[in-house]
Amino acid sequence: MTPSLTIAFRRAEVAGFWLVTTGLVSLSIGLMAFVRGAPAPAAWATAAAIGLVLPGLVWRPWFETGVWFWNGSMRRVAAALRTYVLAVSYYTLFTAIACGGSSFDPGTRRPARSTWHERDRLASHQDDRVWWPFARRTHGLAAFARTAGNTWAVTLFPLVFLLTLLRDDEQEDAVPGSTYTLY
Amino acid sequence: MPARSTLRALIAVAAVVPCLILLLPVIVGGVALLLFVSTVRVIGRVLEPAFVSWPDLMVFDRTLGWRPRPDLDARYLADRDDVFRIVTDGEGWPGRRPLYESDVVVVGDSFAFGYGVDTPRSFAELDPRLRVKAIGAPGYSMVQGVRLLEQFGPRLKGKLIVWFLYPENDLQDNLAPEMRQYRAPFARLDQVRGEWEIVDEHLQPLKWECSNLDTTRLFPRFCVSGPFSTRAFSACDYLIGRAERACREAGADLAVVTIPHPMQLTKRGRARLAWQSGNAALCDADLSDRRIADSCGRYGIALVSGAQHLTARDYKWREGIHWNERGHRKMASLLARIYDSFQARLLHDSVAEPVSEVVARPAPIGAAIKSPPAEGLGVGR
Repeated sequence: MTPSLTIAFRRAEVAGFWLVTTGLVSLSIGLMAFVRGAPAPAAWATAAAIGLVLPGLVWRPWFETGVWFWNGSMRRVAAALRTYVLAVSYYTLFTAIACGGSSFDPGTRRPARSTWHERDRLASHQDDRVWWPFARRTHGLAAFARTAGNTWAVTLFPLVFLLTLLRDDEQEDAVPGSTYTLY
Repeated sequence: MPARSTLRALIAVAAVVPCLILLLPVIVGGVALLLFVSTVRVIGRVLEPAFVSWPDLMVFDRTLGWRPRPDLDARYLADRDDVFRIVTDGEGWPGRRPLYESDVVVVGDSFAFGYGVDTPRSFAELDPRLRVKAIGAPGYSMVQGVRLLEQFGPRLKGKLIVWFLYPENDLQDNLAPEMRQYRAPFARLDQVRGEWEIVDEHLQPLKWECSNLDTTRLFPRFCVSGPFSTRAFSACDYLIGRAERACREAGADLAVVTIPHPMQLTKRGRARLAWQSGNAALCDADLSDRRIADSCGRYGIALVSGAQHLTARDYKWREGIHWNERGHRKMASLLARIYDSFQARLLHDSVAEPVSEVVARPAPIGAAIKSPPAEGLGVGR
């Protein structure tokens, strides 16, 4: 399963979200109260927890609204971070690597040889179910990095991991990139 | 070449260091967020009851294509929704109540199945004074509805049969040999005899490989009069006629309830429907209801237009297709009123006159449908 920063609207995940959020927020406030020398840090933590959960007891959609807010925020944060990651990679990594020249052989020297590579569809399908960039795959970046002279591609793994994590979920509903169309 | 690849590797390693330094806050933040979300998911998995996969809920049926597995008491994950409990009887139909103990039999697709709510909270179980037996499964078209009525035959004697029609996908699925790779019986026009027939010779427990996976919904196209919609409504008319015959021969009373898509219930949804129809000027969101009313009128079947009883608030707003618990409560109440009319022998008073001539020029649904009887059934006619 590909990692994602969004949370499903299933009752159990909504409950999980509020348990973790309430726990973290009340712990943070309790710690802050303790550090600042407040008389009853535990009371502060409890008050924070009640303040977060109470609206949901009065108005049930509150809990789903929290998840909706989280998902919306994550989409915006991911979009901004994607832009940042791509910009940094472009200016620091890709431009530098490009100086080393290209190993892409368009086949001009041996025009009779096809540059198409037959893909093992079953293995590719199994590969696609593994999101971990370091996994041993038959195609993709990991396989490319294993080929002779392309070990440098290992440096791209952290970027691929970040871009996988920060991907646009809504794109998954779009037509698959593998769909061949003429228009 | 080895020198070039070595050079490239050296450059890459040299370049990746500043890159990673600049990306470090993002990596740390990303990992922290991932940790948070993973913790939420782990807690979610702990809290969530175990559910079975969809194929485990269904069994192959030689005449219907598929049906729910008998004697189930399990949970399933609804698409884009949540985990719900399904309970089936010895024949695989929702609820534990056997058919012979019921007064009302509801036939249909996922709406009849109670998809998207726990079975004990579906419309069939909500009214204790009304003994409802739901017979249906997700993905069923009208063809399977007809098949069920014909199969049950004498077992339906003296009962009120309520047939849920969901034009949004039924009209299309009636003509399709499969539903998301499940082989389904379908209606086909015999070109030689010029008559419709139900085809099922392709039904086998094998996947239908060239499925479009239910990604293209044609309902908006059926909202515009033309050859496309004429064919769909012609098949629909044939199936309604066949259902009426099955019920008549069984000695049961048939009433049809059309279930609107939430798009049909809001101004914005109707505008979207018009846009999707490809001909906004001629799009008529109520065309399916009127054509079905026309067929019901011709066969002497009472029709209740769900659009007169349901609102967009009765549907799951995120999932966008099925009823929420409020919708199920409303349907239970509507069924009780239909049953009251049936008991008072007023059901057949609410049969429509054929409205073929009205269908040709779109008119408000109320104009094509007579006013409800005094009991306030809100029956479309």
